[in-house]
Amino acid sequence: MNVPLYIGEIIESSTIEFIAESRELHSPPRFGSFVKADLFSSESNEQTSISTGIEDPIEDPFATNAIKPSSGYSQMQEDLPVRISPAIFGVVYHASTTNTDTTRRRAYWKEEEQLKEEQPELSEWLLMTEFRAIVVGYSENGRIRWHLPPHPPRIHSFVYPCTTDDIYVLTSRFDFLRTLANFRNAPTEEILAACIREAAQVYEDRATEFKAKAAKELARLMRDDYELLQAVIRRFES
Amino acid sequence: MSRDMDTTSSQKRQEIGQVVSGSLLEGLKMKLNPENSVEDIRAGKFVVVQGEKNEFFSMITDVILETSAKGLLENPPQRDDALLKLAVSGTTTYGTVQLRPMLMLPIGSQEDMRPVKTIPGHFSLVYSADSQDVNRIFGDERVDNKFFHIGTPIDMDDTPVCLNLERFVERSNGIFGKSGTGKTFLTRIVLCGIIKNRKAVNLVFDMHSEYGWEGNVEDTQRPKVRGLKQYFQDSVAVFTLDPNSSKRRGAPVDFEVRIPYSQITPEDIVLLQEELNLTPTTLETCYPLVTKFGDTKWFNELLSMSMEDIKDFCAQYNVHQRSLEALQRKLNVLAKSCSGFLTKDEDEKGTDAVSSIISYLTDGKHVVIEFGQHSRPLEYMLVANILTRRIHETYVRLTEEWMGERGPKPIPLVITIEEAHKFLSPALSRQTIFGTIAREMRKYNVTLLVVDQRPSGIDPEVLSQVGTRITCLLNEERDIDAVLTGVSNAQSLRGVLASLDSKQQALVIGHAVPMPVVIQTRTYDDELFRKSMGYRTEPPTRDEMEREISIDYS
Repeated sequence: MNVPLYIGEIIESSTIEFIAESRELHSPPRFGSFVKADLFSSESNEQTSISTGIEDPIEDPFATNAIKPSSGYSQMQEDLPVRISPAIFGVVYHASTTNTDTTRRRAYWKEEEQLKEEQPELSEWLLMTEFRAIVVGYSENGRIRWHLPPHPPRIHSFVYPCTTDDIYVLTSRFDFLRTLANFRNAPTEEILAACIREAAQVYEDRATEFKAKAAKELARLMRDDYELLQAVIRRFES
Repeated sequence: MSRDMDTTSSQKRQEIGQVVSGSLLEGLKMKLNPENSVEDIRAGKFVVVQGEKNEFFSMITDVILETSAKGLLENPPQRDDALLKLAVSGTTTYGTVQLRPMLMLPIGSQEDMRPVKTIPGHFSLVYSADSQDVNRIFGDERVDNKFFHIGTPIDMDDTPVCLNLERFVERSNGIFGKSGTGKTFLTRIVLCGIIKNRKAVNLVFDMHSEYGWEGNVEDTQRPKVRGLKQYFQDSVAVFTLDPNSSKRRGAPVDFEVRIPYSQITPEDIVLLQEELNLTPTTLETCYPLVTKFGDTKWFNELLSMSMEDIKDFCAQYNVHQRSLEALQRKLNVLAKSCSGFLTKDEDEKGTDAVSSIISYLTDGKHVVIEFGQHSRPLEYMLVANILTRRIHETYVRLTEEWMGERGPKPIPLVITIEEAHKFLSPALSRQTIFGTIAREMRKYNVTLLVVDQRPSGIDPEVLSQVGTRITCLLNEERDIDAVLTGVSNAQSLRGVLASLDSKQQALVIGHAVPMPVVIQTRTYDDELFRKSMGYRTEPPTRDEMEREISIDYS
């Protein structure tokens, strides 16, 4: 199946977050899911990116990575990746669909099919789904860093969903939880819980163990806010 | 022996936490590693703190639950908040453990342990001790026979904790614990150690006839346990006050004890004042009697006095007549109730129990005196006091001869008494021979092994002189206080003492162990014990005893 890998294009970029337009209307990446954007090397100003030379990449550029999703969680921490493509990683914290023409921002009182027929420009041109992601780390020289990249992702570069391997490596340490917990533009308990739920899917039968470890990390982070801790844990425990 | 050379230790050091705070006075506080359950941590457990320069050998004295989360305790996780509970356990709720460093040693050093004069730094790692640590501190009986295995540390079943018997017999010692906690078994084990390793001779006042031939067990399904005589046939002599009882129990007896009236002194009567319900005035009337009739005859004379004699005597010595009558009445009761072994006849000198006991003891043989049916405190105290006084006199003489280089050094003597609080109560300890022995300590080579369930009844001054205390479970606050009299860090040991199992566990503190330790006592008279004691056919000769002891003590 020739499914293009990228799911969005960055339309606004900053150090701590980026906003991308979703490639498909009404289909932003899931809340709390991991996405990545190209990382441009600051020195050469050249894109050492995932999509180098690939116009519309249909193959997973991470497929050659040495990390096997089946390798155990604890093992992951010991042998962290030596080869992982350069990218900036983010967690989706917000998605919205709006009309870009603010003068036509109104209700039409039509069935969806009828509306499409009568006002095709709406879905084809005017309506836009955008999502926002908070930057939780980046990879460079084959190593993951759990801190902010030296430069924000470039505007109009593509956004891709993270592969299973990416998520494995990213979640091998829980530093991203702290970044999320301190982020004030999204409901903390929601974004944390959603992110852990998303990550846990990757762990399949080890999901419970992953959740337990995450919960312990949260307990440490939120020792001063037991109510919040309780709220987060209740949102991802089952 | 370096750590990695040791192949015998099966218990390896395991990290259990790290030091987070502490002081030299209060001890250390350790945060428990999240993977260790607080329930695995027992008070009394033996741990090693690895400091930067020193290793600190410590005992766990308290286990505490703590939390760093605000609001958690007001609103604890509910029954079905499993993940929440899991999340906070080990992170914001955690166990801390109070440690009491007892000894320290520079890392890599082969020197002896030192008392603790500093504490390890922040975040020093804490390990559960391994066999080698235990051997290093408490000695190894395979290396030196002054060490004797009396049990194992808590949670370390195959590592022996040893008592240094040479130090043990240097001072008076106590074995305490409430009834049914295994005092008697522990005493037997210690006595076996002293006999087997030939560190002293024993004189046991065996109130309930449990040490000599065989002893009872509470579980009636199990066979009776062997006594000292069965273990060390020829080097143990059993004396009895009640041959009939011994016969009924099928216990062979070496000697029957008979005590002539002439042996009784006013001091013996003073000891019995409570049992006989004597007033001080009545007691004082003993002394004019001694003045008139002499040390050996007064008792006999008093009993045979008629009313007329009493009147004359009172007139002559200005004694209150009622008092003398009361004394005569009470001593008559005494003579009657002790008629089994108290004899009027002076001509039984050939079989004088005291001199034969002394000759056994100076020959290096151990003597167990069974009381049979005569096990009431009155009889027990009278006999123990009379015999001990004479034996002590002999030992004082022998020791003085030795000091004047006119005789051999006497073999150290350990006298075991039960119900010791009756002899050593604050009111009596200054007047009885036992108080004297407890205070004089090793000067005359005679020490006590005090077996008691009410240590609070013992004179604190005597208790403070007790060298080694082996304490089984005690519940009564006053008893715990008494046992810990004169022990540093008593407060932290209280909790340990109160949390002992009710059987086969004991806290050992004092002279014969380098640091306080809680032990699971070894099982008396099981296959292993019998094997380690070995059935000897030949008793040690006087020469052997002397050689060994003079080497050890010179």
